[in-house]
Amino acid sequence: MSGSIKMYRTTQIVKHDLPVKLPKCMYTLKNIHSRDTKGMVAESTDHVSTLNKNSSIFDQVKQFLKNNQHISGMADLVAKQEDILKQLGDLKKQIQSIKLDLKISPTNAVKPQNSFSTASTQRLTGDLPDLVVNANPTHPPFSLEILQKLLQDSINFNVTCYLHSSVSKLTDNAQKLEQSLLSHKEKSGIPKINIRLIWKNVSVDTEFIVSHSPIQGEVNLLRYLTRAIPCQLSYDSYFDCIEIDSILDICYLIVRAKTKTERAGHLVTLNKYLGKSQWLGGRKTLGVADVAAYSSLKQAASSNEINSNLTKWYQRCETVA
Amino acid sequence: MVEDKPAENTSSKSALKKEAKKAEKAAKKAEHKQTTSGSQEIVKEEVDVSIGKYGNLPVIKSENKNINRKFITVNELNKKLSNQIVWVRARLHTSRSRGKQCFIVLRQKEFTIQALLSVSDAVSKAMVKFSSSIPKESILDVEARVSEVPNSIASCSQQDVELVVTQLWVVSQSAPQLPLQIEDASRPEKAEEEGLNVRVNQDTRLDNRILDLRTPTNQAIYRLEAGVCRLFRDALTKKGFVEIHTPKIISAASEGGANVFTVSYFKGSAYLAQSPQLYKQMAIAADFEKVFTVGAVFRAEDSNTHRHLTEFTGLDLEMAFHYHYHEVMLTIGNLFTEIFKGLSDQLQNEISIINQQYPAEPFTFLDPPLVLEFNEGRKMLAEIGVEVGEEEDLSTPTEKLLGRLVKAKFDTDFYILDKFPLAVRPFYTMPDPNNPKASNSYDMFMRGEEILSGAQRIHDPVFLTERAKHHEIDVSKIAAYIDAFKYGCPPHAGGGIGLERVVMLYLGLDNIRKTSMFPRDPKRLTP
Repeated sequence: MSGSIKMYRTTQIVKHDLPVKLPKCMYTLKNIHSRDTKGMVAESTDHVSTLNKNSSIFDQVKQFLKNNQHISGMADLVAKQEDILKQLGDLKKQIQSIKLDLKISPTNAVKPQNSFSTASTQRLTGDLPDLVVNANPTHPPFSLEILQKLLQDSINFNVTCYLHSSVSKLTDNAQKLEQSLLSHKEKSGIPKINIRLIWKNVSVDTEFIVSHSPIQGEVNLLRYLTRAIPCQLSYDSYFDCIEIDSILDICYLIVRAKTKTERAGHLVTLNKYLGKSQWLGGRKTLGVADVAAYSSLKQAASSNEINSNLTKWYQRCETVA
Repeated sequence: MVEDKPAENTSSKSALKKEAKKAEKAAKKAEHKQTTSGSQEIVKEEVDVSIGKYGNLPVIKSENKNINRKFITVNELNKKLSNQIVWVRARLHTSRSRGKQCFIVLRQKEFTIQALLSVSDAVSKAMVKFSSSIPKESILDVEARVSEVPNSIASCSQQDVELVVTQLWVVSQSAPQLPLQIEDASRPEKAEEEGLNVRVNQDTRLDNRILDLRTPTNQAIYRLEAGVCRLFRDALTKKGFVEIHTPKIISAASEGGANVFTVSYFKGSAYLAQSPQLYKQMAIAADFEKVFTVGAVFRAEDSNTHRHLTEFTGLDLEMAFHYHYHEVMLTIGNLFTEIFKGLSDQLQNEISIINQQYPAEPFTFLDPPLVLEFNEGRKMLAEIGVEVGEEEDLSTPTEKLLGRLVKAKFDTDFYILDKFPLAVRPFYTMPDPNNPKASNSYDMFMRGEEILSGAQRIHDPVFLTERAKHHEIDVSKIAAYIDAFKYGCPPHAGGGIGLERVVMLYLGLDNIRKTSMFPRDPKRLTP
C-alpha cells in the first residue's frame, strides 16, 4: 500500500483524553455516564471509553463455562464436538490421499493466476463476447491501435468500423486510426476478439458495451481488455497495481479536462509518475498505463503542453505504435 | 353569377336556395353599381362599397386564358413582401367574426396565414358578413395587402405577417358540414391534459380520406414516401440498375399458392402477382445484370394487423454477382443507408412536421450497415432467456425483441440478419455451402420489423428441380420458372421491400394505413 493511496495527516482537533478538573464551588454530581465498574466508561477516565480488558468476551465465556459445568447435557455436547472433530480429521486425510494420487503439488495450485499460457488465453477468449466500442471522432481511442500491434502475436483484434447516423463526417485523426485498424493483418492460429468500433456522437469518453449498459472511459476499456485477455499488459497481480490504476485515472481526467490549466495539473502528476524512468510507474517495459496515457495525450493535449521529459516518453510510445 | 348552381348539387337544399339568393343579390348589386354614378353612392348609406370585390365566382370552365394574375403561395408570404398587394389561392381553414371584424385563416398545403377583414372605407359590412359565412374548406381567391404584425401569430405557419383582405372570391365552395375537422385530425398524439382532446379515429379518417389527407402531417408523409421512392430510383440508377416493369396478371402463383387473388381472365382465371420475383430473375437471365421495379404487389392474406395490406407498393431489385451474394446484400444495405441519409438531408422539414403529430425517436443507422448472422441473433436472444431453435424462424415478438437488443447494443434501428435457416426459406433459396442447416438468405430490419427479405437464388435448373422436389412441389407446375435458367444464368440475388412499411418504420408510426394513401386490407375496398 505504498503508492498513491497515501493519505494525509490532520492535526487533532479535539483532545478528549485529558483529565477534566471539576469545579468544587458547588455540590458534586454523580457521573451519569459511568455505571459502576461494569459500565463502558470507567469512572476514573471520565467520559472516555476504553476497552475494559477484564470483560473481554473470551474471558466472559470462560467464566460462564466455569460457572455452568454442572449443567446437564453439557457432557453430551462435549462428546458430540469431539466426534465432529474426529470426522473432519478423517476427511482431511482422505483428501490428502486423493491429492497424492492426482499428483497435485501445492505450488501448482496457486500458479495459474500468473501464467499467461496460450491455453488459458484460448479458453478465455472463447467466452469473450463481441465488444461494441462507441467513440467520438474528435477523441479517437488510439489505444486500440497500440493494443492491436502489441498483442499481435497472442490475439487478433478484429476491428470493424461503422459510422453512426449522428455523425456526418469523420475527423482526419479518426480516419487515420480507422485505416490503421482495418489494415491489420490477422495471424492464423491465435484467438480472436471481435470489436465493432462505432463512430458516434458520444461525449469525449469512449464507451464500450459488453452486454447491455455502456461503460464509459477509454481506460475502463483497457482495464476490461487486460483482465479479459491474459497478456503482458495485465497488471492485476503486480504489487503496484494500485499505482497503475491511479495513472489510468489520471489519463481519464486528462481526456475529460475542460481547460488547459486543469489539464496542466494532471500532466504534472503524470510527469511525476514517469520520473526518470523509461516507462510510467518506473517500469522497464511498456505497460497498460503507457498505452492509456499515450492515447489520452494524443487525443487531448497539444505538443506544447507537455514538457521535454514527457515528450521523450511520448516519442518512445510512438515508435511502438 | 347564377350559373354556379350545377356545381353545388351536393349541398343541402336550403343552402342551395340561400346561395342562389345571395348570388342574385350580388348580381343585382353589381348591376346597380354599374348603372349608378359615384355621387349617388355617397347619398345612400346602405350602398355596398365593396361590390365587385367579393362573392362566388362562377365555375371556372377555362373561358378566360388571358388573366395575368400572379398568385403567391402561402409559404412565400413573409416580411419581404410587406405592404405589397398579392393574390393568394388557398383554402379557408377557419373563420371567426367579431363585430366589424372577421379573422380568417387561409391554408395552402401545410402552410397557414391569418387574414383580416374589417369594416372600413374599402370594405363594407356586407363583405365582412359574407366572409364569415363561407363554409370551412372552401377554396378562395384573395387579394390582400401583406402587413407585418407586432406580435407573432402562434397558430399559423407564417408567423410574422398577416393579410389585409381587399378582395375575396369563392372559387369552390365546400359543403357546410364536414365529417371531420382538419384541426382535430392534425392534433398531436401525445396526451395533453388541458384543452380539447378530440381526435379522429383511423376508420373515420380512412372513410373521409380526402379531407384527412389535407392535414399537414399527411401532406408531409406522402411527400416523404415520394422521397423514398425517388431516392430508391436515383440510388439504383446511379449504380447501373435498369428499371423494368413486370406483369401483374400472372398465370401461376409465384410464392406458394395459398395467398393469391384469383381474377377471371376471359374464359379462364388468372392470378394477381404476389411479387415480381420470377420476372426479375428472368430479366437477369436475359442479361440485364441489375434490375429494379416499383409496382403494386398483391397478397390475399386475411390478416388484420397494423402492418399487413392486401395491396402495397413493392420496391424490388435483383442483381447478378460475381462470387459471393454479400456483394448484393451489401449493395442493398448501402442503398438503405443512402436512402436514410437522403431523407434526413432533403426532407428534414417533413420529418419534423410529422414528428409534431406523431412523436418518435429519430431513426438511427450505421454506415456501413450492421450485419449480424442468424446465430449471433439467436445468441443475443438466448442471453436474455429466449430460445430460438437452429432451424426455427423468428416470430414477430422475437423479431421485435431482437430489434430492441440490437438497438441497445449498437444503437442502430437498421440492421441485416444473415444466414437464415434453410428450412424456413422458399425452395429457390441457395443453401449455405458450409452449413447444411443454413442458407444464403438475409432479412433486413427497421425498428425491429422486417422490411426486406432476400436471398441468393438457385440459378441451376437441375439443382432447382432437386430442391423443389425436396419441398414436395409439383415440378410440372413451375416448369416455366425452371426453364428460365436452362440457357445459362449468372448467379444472382435480390430482395423486395415494402414501400409503405419502410415509411411507417422510418417515421416510427404505429399503423401501415397511415402511410398508404388509399389502403386496401381485408375489410376495406373503398375509397
